[in-house]
Parts: sequence; structure tokens; C-alpha cells
Amino acid sequence: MQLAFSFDQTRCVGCYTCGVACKDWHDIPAGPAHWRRVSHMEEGEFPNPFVAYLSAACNHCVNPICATVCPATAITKREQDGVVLVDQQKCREAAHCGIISGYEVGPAPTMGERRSPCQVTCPAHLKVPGYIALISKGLFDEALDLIRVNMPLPSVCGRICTHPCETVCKRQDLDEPIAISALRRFAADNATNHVSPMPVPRTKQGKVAIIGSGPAGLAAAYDLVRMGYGVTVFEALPVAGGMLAVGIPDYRLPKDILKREIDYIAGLGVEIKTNSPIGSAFTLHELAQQGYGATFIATGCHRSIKPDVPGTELSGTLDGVSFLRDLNLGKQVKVGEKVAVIGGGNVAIDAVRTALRLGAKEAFIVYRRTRKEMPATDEEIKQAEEEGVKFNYRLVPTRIVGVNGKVTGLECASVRSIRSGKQGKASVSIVDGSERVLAADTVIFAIGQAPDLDFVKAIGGLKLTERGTIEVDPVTMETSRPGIFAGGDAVSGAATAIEAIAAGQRAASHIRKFIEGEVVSGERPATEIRGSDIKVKIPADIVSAPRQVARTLPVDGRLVSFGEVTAGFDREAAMAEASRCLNCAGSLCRDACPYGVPQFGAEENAKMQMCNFCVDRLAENKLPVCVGSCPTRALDSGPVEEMRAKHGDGKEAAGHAFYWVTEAPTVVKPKDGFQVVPNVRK
Amino acid sequence: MSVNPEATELEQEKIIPTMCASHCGGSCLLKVHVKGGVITRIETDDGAEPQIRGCWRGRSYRQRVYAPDRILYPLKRVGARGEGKFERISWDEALTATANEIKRVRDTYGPASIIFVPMGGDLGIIHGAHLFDRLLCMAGGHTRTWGVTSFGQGMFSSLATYGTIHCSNSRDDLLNTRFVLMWGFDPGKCINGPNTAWYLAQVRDKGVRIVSIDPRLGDTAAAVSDQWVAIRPSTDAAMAIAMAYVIVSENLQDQAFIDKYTVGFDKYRDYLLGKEDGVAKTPAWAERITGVPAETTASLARQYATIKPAALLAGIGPGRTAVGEMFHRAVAVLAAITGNVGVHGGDAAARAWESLIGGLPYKVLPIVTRVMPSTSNPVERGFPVAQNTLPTYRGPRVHYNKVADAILRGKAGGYYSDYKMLFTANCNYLNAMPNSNKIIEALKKVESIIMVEQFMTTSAKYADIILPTNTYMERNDYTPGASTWFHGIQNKIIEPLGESRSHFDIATALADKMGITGYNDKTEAQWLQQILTMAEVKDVDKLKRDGILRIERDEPYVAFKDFIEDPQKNQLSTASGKIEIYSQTMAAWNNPKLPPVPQWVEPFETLTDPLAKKYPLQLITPHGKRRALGQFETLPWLKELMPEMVWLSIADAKARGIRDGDMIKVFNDRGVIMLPVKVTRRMMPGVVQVESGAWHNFDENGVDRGGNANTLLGDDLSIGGHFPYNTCLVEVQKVEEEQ
Repeated sequence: MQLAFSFDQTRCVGCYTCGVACKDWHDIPAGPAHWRRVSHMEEGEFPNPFVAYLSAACNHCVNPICATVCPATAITKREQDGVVLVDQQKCREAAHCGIISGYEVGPAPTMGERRSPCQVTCPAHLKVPGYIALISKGLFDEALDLIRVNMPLPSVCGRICTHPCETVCKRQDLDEPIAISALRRFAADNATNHVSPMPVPRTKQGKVAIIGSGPAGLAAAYDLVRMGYGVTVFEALPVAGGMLAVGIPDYRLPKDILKREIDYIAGLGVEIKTNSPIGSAFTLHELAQQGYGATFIATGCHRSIKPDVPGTELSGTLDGVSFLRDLNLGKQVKVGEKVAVIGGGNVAIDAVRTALRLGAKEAFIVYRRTRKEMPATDEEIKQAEEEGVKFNYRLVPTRIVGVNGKVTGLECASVRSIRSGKQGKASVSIVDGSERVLAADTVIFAIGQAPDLDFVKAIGGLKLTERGTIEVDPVTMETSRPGIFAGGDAVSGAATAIEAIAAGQRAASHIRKFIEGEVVSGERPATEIRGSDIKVKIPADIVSAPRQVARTLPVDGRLVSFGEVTAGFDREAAMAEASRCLNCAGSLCRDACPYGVPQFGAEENAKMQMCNFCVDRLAENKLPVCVGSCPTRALDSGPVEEMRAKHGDGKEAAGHAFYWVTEAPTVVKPKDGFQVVPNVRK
Repeated sequence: MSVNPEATELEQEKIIPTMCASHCGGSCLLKVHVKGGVITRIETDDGAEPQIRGCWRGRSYRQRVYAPDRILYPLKRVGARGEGKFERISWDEALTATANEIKRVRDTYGPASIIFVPMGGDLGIIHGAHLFDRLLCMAGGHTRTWGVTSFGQGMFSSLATYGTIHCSNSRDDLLNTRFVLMWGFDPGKCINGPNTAWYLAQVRDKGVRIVSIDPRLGDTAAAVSDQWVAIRPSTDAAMAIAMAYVIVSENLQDQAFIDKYTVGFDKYRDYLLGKEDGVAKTPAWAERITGVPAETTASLARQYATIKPAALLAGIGPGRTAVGEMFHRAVAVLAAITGNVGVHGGDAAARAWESLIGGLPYKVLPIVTRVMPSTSNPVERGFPVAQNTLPTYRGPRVHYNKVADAILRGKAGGYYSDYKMLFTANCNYLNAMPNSNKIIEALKKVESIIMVEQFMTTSAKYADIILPTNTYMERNDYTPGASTWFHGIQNKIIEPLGESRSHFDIATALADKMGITGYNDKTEAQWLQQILTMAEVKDVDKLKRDGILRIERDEPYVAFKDFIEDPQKNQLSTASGKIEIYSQTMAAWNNPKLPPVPQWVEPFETLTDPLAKKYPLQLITPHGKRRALGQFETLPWLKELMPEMVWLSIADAKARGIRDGDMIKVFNDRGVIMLPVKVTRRMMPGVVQVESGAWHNFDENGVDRGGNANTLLGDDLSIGGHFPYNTCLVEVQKVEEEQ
């Protein structure tokens, strides 16, 4: 038998009697623990707001995910009634459920609020330890669900992320960091639940226009559509994905993978219009007329910065962004036999490796700093080296040499020193007389990008920074024009996909506030601890285990095609790699539970607490105390089938017993605010 | 709350039932678990439906009993008034000092200089503030207060229209209605009789349309109502009058009912149609006053007049305004002209709360029943006896709201006496009454202050002597059900904490100390027995065992059903014996502010007041959710679940650059409070809500950081002499300080 709660949202007057009764019955002091919580939501506009209260406790899931991830097997499900119980003796007495000392973290967070360095560092704050634990148990679908809570592009991100999380991973104090990004990719590639999502019910009046379908735009769209808004993404190019589609070669990010993820987002109800450049196809003014309550500009950085050297007009010079874009759009792209690429970022590496795949006999990098300082990821550089790319460090181009208008070489000089200047503009001094010409028939420059913001001038009213990016409020992402938000590379300058995703998410949350008429301006940023500040003492009994290495194509097989180089983990390697996680913050149950049920008190090493269905009362044939307390009889409990018969069919979330509210709800993120179909009784 | 481990080992957990009656608007069954003499948990009714389930207040009563700020010993003030510095004294010292002080003031200034202010608190028939009224009467007399804080305007109108205050149906009769108009009514928060919100939810489930008229979207309305009509505070009467205009001008009234059961319809119709003043009271006329679109008013009028039976539930909030008497008169008359009085599913619309004081037409003793009745008050001898009638003349009594004014001005201000001693029981006067800064002035001025208290309230800090009383969990008493057909008993659950004593014990001991003979000749148990006999409780054992004894009846109770069935035999107590649309009593007063038919009377301190230029927002001060009036304020569970917030509309917040969660000041010429703000779409633009009852916390600049609404309210009376808690003008401003 499976016991379940039923909750009639239309009867809840938000009186909190259930919460008080729960605290009294279980003798829970005032403080962070609320086993039976009541949340209030309101939206719409005066005088017709929609207001609802929602009550949440443990759902006593059919397959409790918390039990699966608990390293101490402290969480069990009783067979006779399906009640999920926590063994307080076992909880946190098992080794290594949380090795962060609350006293060493700095602004000491409580046990329940502890975050691991990886999660804190990730710009999108993915619940890394949670999904890694699920992978280690072979629960790939559940892992992907957890990743998806705040990651719109799991497969893509698993491939191309610069993974700052791994940089702070504490496992490296012992041996090597966890392969977090590769594991995320593994989960996304091996889960079975990444196709045909259900469209999210449109519960809100407002709709949002998003300009640009890169990671920032897609992230904002993903969040807004899940909040219940109508979302249209306008993309200037014939394909969606922004830089992910046209900036990254197939051997790193296959087109079908990107398409699958974009299809998933579209499947949630996001409308994506390609070949729709702003300015020519439509204007911001027209968008407002069409009822879009807010606009998010995420047009990226698609214009290469030209190096300030003579000879860029010669035939045979290319800019890296256009080069990769043309290739990705299927245009004819040619390189010569000897290709020089200027720059040290991922675009430079992508360009040089692409050149080899296009038939160049020789391709090399010219970079003004050292390898250590290269922005490109180590993995990228390594693979390029394997493929025969030569790297010239501390070398700066001084002139592109040509004959008859065609490139014949690149004159370079050795760098004596570089002084950083304002806004990233550095002044380079060269070693006198060190100039020499490196032979090349193609020169690709990839020294940086800027936003292509001609349209901004056309709209008017948007302030720009000195760097030519869009100026926004750093917290709310609102531009100088109310209701117009911006984010991603168009605001930050060229940065990483994960930063763009985080920007899109932040913008989405403030766009919601704007549309709902809340005051968005003037907010102060919350102070956050940095991942690198978190101190972790690795227990002595942890045995060193090397990081699993993802399979890659053999080098000789790579250059003949654009096939994906990194093949990713197999099942065994993934589970072995995931098992290496130290679980620094502990409280995996809390991270894994999609309903945010597990709670921890404020004290050090607090035990997990959650609703226990009042098992002591159950034995006496009494209702759980919250159910028996409800003045309007909004709560009920009993066997699932009985609840269904009594209260009608409700929403059954995957793996969850029964959670009923009047109109079938879509519970998306209970922890951060419910989303439900409004209780409209017309 | 520590448990003696040995006792715990030995003693089994016991469950003792009691009836919570915390002056919250209900009274509900609690089943209290006790182990080793300590309360461990509280459950509620789990018997057959309709269960009388306790709310969040009753469920948290354990924290109230064991609250660290409870006063457990007699205290004598050693610091300045208001400073909160006291020393513990013995009961003998406390009683001697109290007795001597009463005698000194009486003998020096005369008995009228002692002013006694009682309130509700823990409601029981034995243990109430009335015990001290009797005591002071027998000690030579004292000045009493008059006025009803909670629903004076509603009582006024009930008496004027129906000749009685017993006008409500029992709650289960709501299931018979086909249309509900909740007017300033929020039983999910204010209880208004156990199970009221539950019955409304059931009514809604049956497909009955529920409309809420309120300046803010209340909790109950948010859950059950189909429509929210936002209305400017203090203007509800205008809307009700315009509804009557629509009904009359479209001939939708129940003329047969009017002819048979009412008087004065023609005069009201003349007023509505503008025959007197040339102004037709159309919905468009009302819109300029109320802010409610004319078509909404007209549509609601048609619905109310044509969907039958319809229940207009008149909350007490719209009544607690400067012209609230006219609101209550106007809605009661709406019920009468549509024939919704005395029928199942209707409602007399007099006052929507079947409270402990009124509207108990059952065989249950109302809370005002006194087993130790007040004897005649020597101070009032020779004055006409104050009747339970329309308030006109109260002899030497001082209005509840004017106690501070009376202390400050005395005879020179036109009062009957100078006032030298303030004696309060169950009363956090400073907290509960408007114009806090003026009250503080009075509390500093008056010569002596004696208080019977449970907690170190903001008022208690001004007391000279505090006599600590216990809670209802520490004594035996009887309490009646509110709106519901039952007897309730308060079984003693635990021994009194510390040296706290029951009211009964304190009053009896004080009478002894003062040498008053004949004050009390029975024990608590004997009094309880007498009450149970008076209440005709058949099965006393069952009542004590269950805490509750339901009264069997055939059908839901409907007020005035007997009058409707036979208006000749069962005449009303009005002058005409009928429902008075035109009140003969009021006509005799010839007071333009109190016209004999419901009329729109211009209130003070609303948007038409020139003061609105300076203070453009209207303040409403409904009951605080986590409190019962001022009680329960310091309970950690409730504090954490329901943080104190000012409610402000999005439009008003935007105009002032205020964000949700900001600290803001709410202020006018009378005072300043500071609280965090909830910017919400549930507030009508132009209106601010500060829940009443928060405990003051004045900082060095005189800013009340506790956020008590009374810091802002004035002590002027409504047209009928009542409390205009929802008529006030303020401005709000963001506080730029401390991050």
C-alpha cells in the first residue's frame, strides 16, 4: 500500500495551522525546519490578481530519490504503507556525508545551507554533488532531471563547458578533480528522458520576446516558459543556437546534439523563429505592439576584432568568427596549406584545428602570452597538440606580409612585457630586432570579439559601455530602457557559454518581476561565498583513485572528418568516476529531492529532518497531525487509490506517489516557488 | 520547559480536553497532552464532523503557557514608567499595596477618580475582568468605561434595525445559500465562529458564487471568492446605498416582504431617488466616493436582489470606520428589502460575527453572563441606568477610547471627574487603543496604575503593581461556543506556573485584604457547578470528559425566523415591532450625522479631507493574523511563520521607489511606525494595511519599530460613538538606513 497526501489548493487560506501543529507535535523549535510548509503565490494585476497558497510536505515517493543517494542508507521506505523514514541514528554518522566544517567556511552557513565548492563556483549553480551521486548509482534519468532544474542545455554544456567547477574541485588536493563536465555529458547522453517533453501549460498572461538564440537567450527562454509565460525567440541566422551553432565546430559539438537540446526547449512551448533579424524583420516597437511585455536582447559577440597591424586587407586573411560561422552554415570555406592563427582562446583553437581538417598541411598558433595564460581549456590545447598544431608563445604579430595582394607570411616579434591596461586593453612591448616572418598563406585572427550592435543605434535609447557592449543594471540585467533586458556576450563581451546561461537565468527572474509589476530596479546583489574560500579537510581514509579518462578518437582518424573527437565515458567509467566524488557539502538528499523536502537544523552536523507521516499516530489509526488540523479541510491523507477516488485524478509526478491540487498542476520547482495551473473556477 | 525526568518515567501521558477561547473570534476544542505536569503537545477535535478544530493560535498555546515573557510573580515597578524595570514582591505585599492604594485614591479624590478598564483576554465565565468591577463597586465605586471596541457600529445598527444584537444564523445555514457577498469579511484569518471558512469552502464547492468587497484581498477571499471588488476604506455605506438605489429603481425589491415586515421603506426610497436632496444615489454617484466602477455596483445589486436566498456577510471591518454605523444600517436594510431576513440561506446582514457577546440565541450562556454579578456602582447612583440600547447617554462613564483624554484633561476637559488611578484587567490598553503617544502621556501622568496581567506587555511596563494571572490551561472554567451549538469547558490542565493565580483567586484575596464582606461565598468548583446548572447542561461528566457538549437541534438556526413566521406574535424589540428601515429612535435624536434612514454621511480623514494632500494614503488596520488582538505576539513559531509586514499596492510602491521587503515608515501627525513592506497586488492602490495589535517598540526618536497601528490612529469617535480603526490618513516612505 502507498499512503499519500492530498491537497486541495482552492481550500487553503494560508492560515499555517498545519505548520504550527506539525511543529508542536514533533516538537520542532522555531528555526529553519518546517516539515509542513505553506507558500504563497500571487500574480496578475490589480484588481484581478490570482492568489493561491500551497502546502507541501514529503510526498513519500514511490521510489524515493533521497533514499537512493543517502550514503548512510539512513532513509528507508516502509513496505506496509510506503512511508519514507529517516533513521536519525544513521544520518550523518556515516563517513563523509559532508566534510566541510561549518566553522571554516567563512560567513558560516548552517548545515542545511552548505554548498560544495563546485556548486558555488558554477555560474548556474548546478547541483553537482547531487547528480554525480545519482550517476554513481546508475540513475541517469534522475541525474538528468536534476541537471535540468537549472541547466537548459545539458548535453551541450557537458561538452563545451569550461567547467570552472573542476578548477575548485577539492578532490585535486588528493589526486585529480572529478570529471564533472564529462559526467554531465554522460548523463545527458545516456538518459532516456531527453526527448518529447510535455509543453508547459501557459499559466501567465505575459509573453516575452528574446532576441538571439544562443545560450543566454535559450536559458532565459527555458526559465520563462517553465514559469508559464509565452516566449518567442528571434534568431537572425537560419539556424538556432547562436555561437553554439555557428561558432563551435562539429568535432566538438555535433549538430544533432545541439538540435536535440533546442528541440527539447522548443518542446516545452518556446517558439523559435529563425531568419528573423531585428531591425529588418521587426523592430522593438513592433514587438511591444504585438503584446510582448518584455524583451531580452542576447545577440552575442559575432564581430571579430581586427588586429592593429598592416596587411589585414590582403587576400588570405580571415577572421575566426566568420570563418567558423561560414563553415557551420555549410558555405564553401577554403584555407591554404600553411595556416597561421592569431590568438589563444577557444575560437583560435577551434580555427586552427578546423584548418587542419580542411586540408591545411600545417597550422600554427601565434599567442602573445604563455600556455598557462591561454584562455582555451587545457583539454582543447592538448587535443590540438595531439593533432600536430604548433604553438608559438610570447609572440606578437607586427605585420601581415603579402605579394600581389595575397598573404605570404606573418611577421612577428618576441614579447618583452605586457602591461595590462583599462578594459582588457594591454600594451605590449617587443624585443627590439626580434621581428621575423613566419611563412603562411592564410592568416586567421581570433584575438577577440565585439557585439554587432548596429541595430541598437537604430532603436535608440540603449546606453552602451565604452567597450561597445550594452549597459545594464548588473543585478537586474535591465537596460537603460525599462522592460528591455540584455545579457550574455552582448553585455559581458565574449565569455563562456555557462556564463551566458547564468546571465539568461538571472534576466529571466527579473523579467518575471517586471512583467508582474514588481519593482525591479535598485536591487542590491546578494553576497555569495566563493568556491575557493570553502575549506575542506579530506578524511585520511579516502583512497587515491585516478580520474577516469574519456575515450577520444585516435589522432589519425580525427583529421579526415569533423567527427566528434571526445567520445565520453562508458557506463562503468562514468559510475567509477562519479564514485570518486567526496561529497564535500553532504546533504545529498536535500539536493536530489525535487521537492526540497529534506531539512537541516542550524546546528553543526544537524540530522536530516522531514515529514514522517506522523507514524506514531498512524499506529493509533489517527490522521497525520497536519491533516487533522486543517480548518478548511484542504488536506487529506490515506491510501493513494482512496485519495484518487475521493478527490479526483491529480498530477502524478515521475516517481512520486500522489500530490493532488484541484486543477492538474505542473510542479516545476517547488523549492523556488511552485508553478501551478491557476485555480480558476469559471 | 523542563520535564522532571523521574516524574516522566513514572507518569503516563494524559490527554485533557479544554476549550480554547482566546478572544480571537472563535472557541475551539483542544486536547492537551500532559506528562509530568508539563504540557507536551496539543491536538484538536478528531471526533465526528463537524469537528471544532483549533487554529494556529490554539495549536501554539504550549508556547504561550511557557513563554519566557510571562509574568509569574507579583511585581512592583522600580524604574520609570515604561522602562520595564520591576522587582519581585510577595503576594501579600502586592495585595496590601494594591488595597492601600485603592483606599488612598478613593479617600483622597473620591471613588470616581478610579477608572477601571477591562477587556477580554482568555475568555471564561468565572475568570474574567468583571470580577474586579464587582470588587471596585463593593469598595466604594469607580468610573466605568463604555463603548464596544470590536463591533460598536454593528451593534448600533443591529439595535436600530432589528432591536436586538442577536441577528446571526448558525454557520451551517450557509450551506443553504445561493449567493454570498462577503463584505470586509475574512473568517479564514479572524475565525468569526469555528468552521466559518470551511462552510464557505463547501458553499463554493457547490458552485455558489462568492463575491468579496474589501480594500484588500483577504485570505479567505483569495481562496473561495469568485470576484474581488476593491473599495476605498470608509466608503462602504455609499456602495450599499447605491445597490439599494439599483434595486429600488429597477423594482427588484421584495415588496411583499417589505410591506409585511418593515417600516420606513418609502422614506428610504425618497432618499435614494434624491427627492430630499436632489441627488439620486446612483452607482455613478457612488463610484466617485467608493472607487468601485458603477457597473460593478449595479451588477452586484442585481445579483443580490435576484439570486435567492443570498447571504450578505457584513464583516466588522467596514463598520470600524468613521461612518460605519451607516454601513451596517445600509447592508441590514439591503437584506430586508430583498427578503433575505429570517429565511434559510439568507442573512440579516447585521454583523457577520456571531460573537461571544451577541447573537447566542441558543441554550448556551453568552460570555457576558456573570456568576458574580456586578453590584450597583456607587459612582453611577442617581444617573439613568445604561441600557442595552442605542448609545445616547452614559452618565459618568468614560468612553473606552477616551480614557487617556480623560486622564489628561479630567474635569477641566468636561469629564465627570479627575482620574488618578488606572486599574486594568485582561487589557493591554496602550496596545489596543488608538493614539498611542497620547496614551503614553496619560500613563505617565496618572498617579497610580494597577494591572492584572499575564505578560510583560507594552502597557504592563507602565504599571506600578502587576498582579500575575494565569492562563485558561491553569484553571477551571466554562466557555460557550461562538456561532456553534455547544457548551465548552475549560478543564484545568496543569498547576499555575510560578506564583501566578487565577482571576478568581486574585479578586477574592484582594477583597479579603480590603475587608470587603460578601464579595464571594463559593469556591471555583461551586461556581462552575452553578453555571452548568444555569446552562442546563445535562451530562456534566461527558462535558468534562470531552471538553465539549453539542446541543442537538433539528435544523440550522436562523435569526428572526419566528418573527417571519408570525410577525404579530413575535414582534421585534424596535419601537415599531418591525424591521426599521426608518428608525424612530434615531429620528427622535434629530442629529444630521445620524439620520433615521441609512444615508451617506461624509466621514472625516478620508480622501475628501484637505489632510489627504499631506497624507494621501488610507490606512486600514485589520486584526493581526498571528495574534488574537494583542495576545500571542511573542510566540516564536507564529513570529517566524507570519512576519509583521505593511501591505502596500504595487502602484503606490512604484510611485515611491519602494521594493518588496524594504523597510518603510508609515506616518502622519500622530506618529511614525517602521516595518518591512509587502508589495502586493492584493492591496487596492491608495490603501495601506498595518495589522493591528503588534506590540510597540519605540526607539530613541519616538519611531515605533514594533509597528503598532494605534501609533497612527486617532481617538476621535465615529458618528455613533464607536471606534474608527479603519479611518486614517498616512503617507509611507522608504527608510534609507541600516543595510
